[in-house]
Amino acid sequence: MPNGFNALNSTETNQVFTRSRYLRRLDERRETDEIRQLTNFGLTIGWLFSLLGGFCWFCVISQIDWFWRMMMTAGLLLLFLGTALPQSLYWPRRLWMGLAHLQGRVVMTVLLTVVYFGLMSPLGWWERRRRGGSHPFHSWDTQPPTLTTGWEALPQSVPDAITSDVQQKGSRSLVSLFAETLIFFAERGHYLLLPVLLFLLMLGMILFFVQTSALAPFIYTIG
Amino acid sequence: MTSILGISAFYHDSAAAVIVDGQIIGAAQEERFTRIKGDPSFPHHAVGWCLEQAGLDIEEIDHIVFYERPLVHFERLMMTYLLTAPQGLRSFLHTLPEWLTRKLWLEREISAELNVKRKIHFVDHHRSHAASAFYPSPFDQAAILTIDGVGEWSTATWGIGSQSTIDLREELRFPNSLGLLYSAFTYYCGFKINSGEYKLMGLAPYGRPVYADRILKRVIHLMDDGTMLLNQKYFGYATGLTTTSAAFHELFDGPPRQPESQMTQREMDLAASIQTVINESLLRMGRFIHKSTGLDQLVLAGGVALNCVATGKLSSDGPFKQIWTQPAAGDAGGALGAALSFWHRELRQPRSVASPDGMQGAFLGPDIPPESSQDDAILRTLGAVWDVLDETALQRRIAADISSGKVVAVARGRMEFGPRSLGSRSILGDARSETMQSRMNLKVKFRESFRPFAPMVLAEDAAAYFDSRQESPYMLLVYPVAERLRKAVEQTDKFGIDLLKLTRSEIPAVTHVDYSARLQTVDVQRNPFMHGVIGNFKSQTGCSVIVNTSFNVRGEPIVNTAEDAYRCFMATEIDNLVVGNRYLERTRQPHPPMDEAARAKWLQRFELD
Repeated sequence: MPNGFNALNSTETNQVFTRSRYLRRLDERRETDEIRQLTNFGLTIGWLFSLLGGFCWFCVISQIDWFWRMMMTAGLLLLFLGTALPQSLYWPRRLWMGLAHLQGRVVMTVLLTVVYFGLMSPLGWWERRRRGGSHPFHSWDTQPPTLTTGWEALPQSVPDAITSDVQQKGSRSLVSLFAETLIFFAERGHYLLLPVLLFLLMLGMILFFVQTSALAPFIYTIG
Repeated sequence: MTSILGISAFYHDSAAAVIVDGQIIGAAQEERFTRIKGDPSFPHHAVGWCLEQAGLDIEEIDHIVFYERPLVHFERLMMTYLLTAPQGLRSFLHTLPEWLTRKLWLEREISAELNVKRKIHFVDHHRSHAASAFYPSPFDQAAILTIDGVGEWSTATWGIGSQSTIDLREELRFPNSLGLLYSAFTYYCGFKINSGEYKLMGLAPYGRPVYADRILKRVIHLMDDGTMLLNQKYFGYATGLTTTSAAFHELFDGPPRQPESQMTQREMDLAASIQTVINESLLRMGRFIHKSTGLDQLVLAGGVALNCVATGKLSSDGPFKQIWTQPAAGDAGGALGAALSFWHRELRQPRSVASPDGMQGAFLGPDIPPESSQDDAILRTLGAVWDVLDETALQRRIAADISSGKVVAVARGRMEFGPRSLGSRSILGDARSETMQSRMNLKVKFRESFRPFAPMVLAEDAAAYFDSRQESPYMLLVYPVAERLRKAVEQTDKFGIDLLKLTRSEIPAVTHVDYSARLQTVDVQRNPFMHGVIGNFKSQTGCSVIVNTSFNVRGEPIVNTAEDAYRCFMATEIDNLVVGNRYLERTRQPHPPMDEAARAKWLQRFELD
C-alpha cells in the first residue's frame, strides 16, 4: 500500500496542525466542564441514592429491602466513581440526561399546548378583531388588498442598548434579561402578551437551569 | 487600537469576522472548518482563526457584536403566533422550546460560548446587511437595498449610505418577502431551502415562464414599487413547518417534487416563472429607489442579492450606473456587517473609501501560502508527491494544462469569504471545450448535469466576450454572451436538460441555454495570480475566458486547507492540483484512483442540498 494511504482514507482530519490557541483553550474548558458535570452527577445522584436507599433499608420495614439495598449500593458506587473516576460515568450520565431531556420535552409540549389554546388563541382572536384587516397576514381569493406599497417607514432610532453602554463590562444576569424582555414588549405596546410572556419566560428560565442539572428527572417529575 | 469581533450564528451559515481600527483583518464561515455545509452552530473555529489572524486573545477584543437582535426576532415570532392562532400550534411547539431555553438568553449564551464576561452588542439583521454592502463598497454615497428571507421583522430595506452614515428609510415586513417566496419555490421544486436557491436559478433558462401569470394573479400582489404582498392562503411558513400549503400544490398542478427524483419540464417552467417574477420585482424596486434617492450607485446585500440573474437584469435594464454587491451577501456576511456597523455607527468612526473596493477581492479567509513547512508536512502525511514552481512558471503551467483540456484545481492564497470561489479555491477548465461542461459536472463535481459553469474573464477583455455593463469581480452579475460569439443552434427535438449539450457559442462550457453567463471579471489589483494565469492562457490560445467553479464536490463546503484540497483532488477526476506553489500531477500520485464504491462512501459524508 502506498505511503499515506490510510491517512487519506481516514475520515479524521489532521486539524491538530491548525488548531488555534482559542480552540485549544475551548477543548480544555470543555474537558474540565465535562469532568465537573460528571463529578456533580456522581455526587448528587450518589448522595441521593445512598441516603434514600440507606434510610429505607435500615429504618423502614419493607417488602422490597433488596431494592433499597441495591439503591444504596448504586449510590455508594456513584459516589466513589464520581470522586475517583468521573470519566467512567460518561454513559450513565448521558442516559440519565437523555431521560431528563425526553421528560423535559413532554412537559414543555404539554405546557406550551395549554398556553397556546388557553391564552394565545383567545388573545389572538381579540387582537385580530381589534386590528380589523390591518395586520400583515393577508389572504385573498380573487381581489387582493388595495394597498399600493409594501414599504413602511423604519423607526429612525431603534430602542437600543448599544448606543449608551459601549464601555459596559460584564455579562448581565438572567433576571435582568428577563426584565428587559418584558419591558421591551411593554414599550412596543404588546400589553396583551405580557401575562403569556411572564409564564413562558419563567418556564424558560427554569428549564435553562434544569437542563444541565443531574436532578432534572426528579424536578420534571415533580413539575 | 480598537478590535471588533462580528458573529453570525444559530440560523444558517455561521461566520465570524474581525476588524481592527476599521480594517477588515479576516472573515470566514464555520462550514469551511467543520466541513458541514451551511453549519449553523456557534462559529468557534472561525472565531479561533479570526483571533489568530488578528494576533489577539478573546479577552483582548474590545467589542463583540452579533448580527441580529434576538428580542425583536422573538417579538416577530410571538406576534405571528398571536395573529395566526389557533393555526400555528405545530410551529409554536417546534420553535418555542429553543427560544425559551437558549435563543432568548443569547447574550449569556454567547458570553458562555466565548468564555468572556462581557456585554454582547446586537445590530439589526438588515442593518448588518446594509453595513456589509455599503462600507466596503467603492462609493462615497450610494443607495442601499437589502433583501432576504427575513431578519427580525424586515424582509427588505432601502436607504442611503453617505460617508460613514447609513440612513435606512423603509422596510418591507414579514410575512411579505421576496426571499421567502423564492424559497417556497425552491422547496416545491425539490431543493433544500437556504442552499438550493442557486440551483433553481440555474434551472430557470430551461423552462418557459408559463406560471408567471398565475403567481402574479393569485399568489402575490406585486406593486409598482417592487414590494409585494404574499397571499398567505398559499404558504405555510407563518403557521406550519412547511413553506407551501395544500392550496399552493393545487394551484401548481401537484405535490412538491421529491428531492433527487427525476426533473420534469414542470420544475423548469416553475423555475423560469418565479425567476421572471423576481426579476420584475427587483427591477421595480430599483427604479423606485433610484427615483427616491436620485443616486446612480446602488449597493446590495441579503440572500436575494445572490440571485445574480435578477441583479444582472437590474444592471442591464435598470436605472443605476453602478451596482456593487457584497460578495458574502447571505447571513455569513452579517458577521462582517455587524462589526463594521458598530465601528462606524456606535463608535462614530469616519470611513475612508477604498479602491477598487474594501473587500480585498473577498480573499479574507485562511491562507495557503506559496511555501509552508506545515502544509508540506500535511501533504507528506497523506502521501502526496509534487514539484515546486515559482509563481510565473506556475501560472504558465496552469494555463498550458487548461488549454490542453485538463482540469486543474487551485488552492492558493487566502480563501474567499462568501459562497463564490474566485480563484483561491477554484477548479479551472477550458471554456472553449464542448465536453468540459458535462465532464466537470459528472466526473469532477458529481452533481446534476443541468447546472452551468461560470466564466472567469480578464476584466479588460470582458466587453469583447459579454454584453456586460460593468465589472463583476465577485461573480454576482449575469450578462449575455456577446452576439458575435454565439452560434446558431439547429432545430432539434431536444428539450429540457438535453438543450445544454448543444454548442451555442465559442465558449460553450460557460454559455447557458439562454446564452447567459455568470460573469467574474478578473483584474490585476484584486486577483493578480489568476490575472496572470488567464493572461498566459490568452497568449497561448488567444482566448481570455476560462471556466471557474468552486473547489468542492456536491454538498461539500469549499475546501479550506491543503489537506481538504488534496482529499478532494484524490476523490475526483481532477487532473492536476496546485497547493501554494506546489504542482501535483494526478498521474504521479502513488495512490490508486478512487473506485466507485470508495467514492460513493466519500460523497455520503456530504449532505445533499
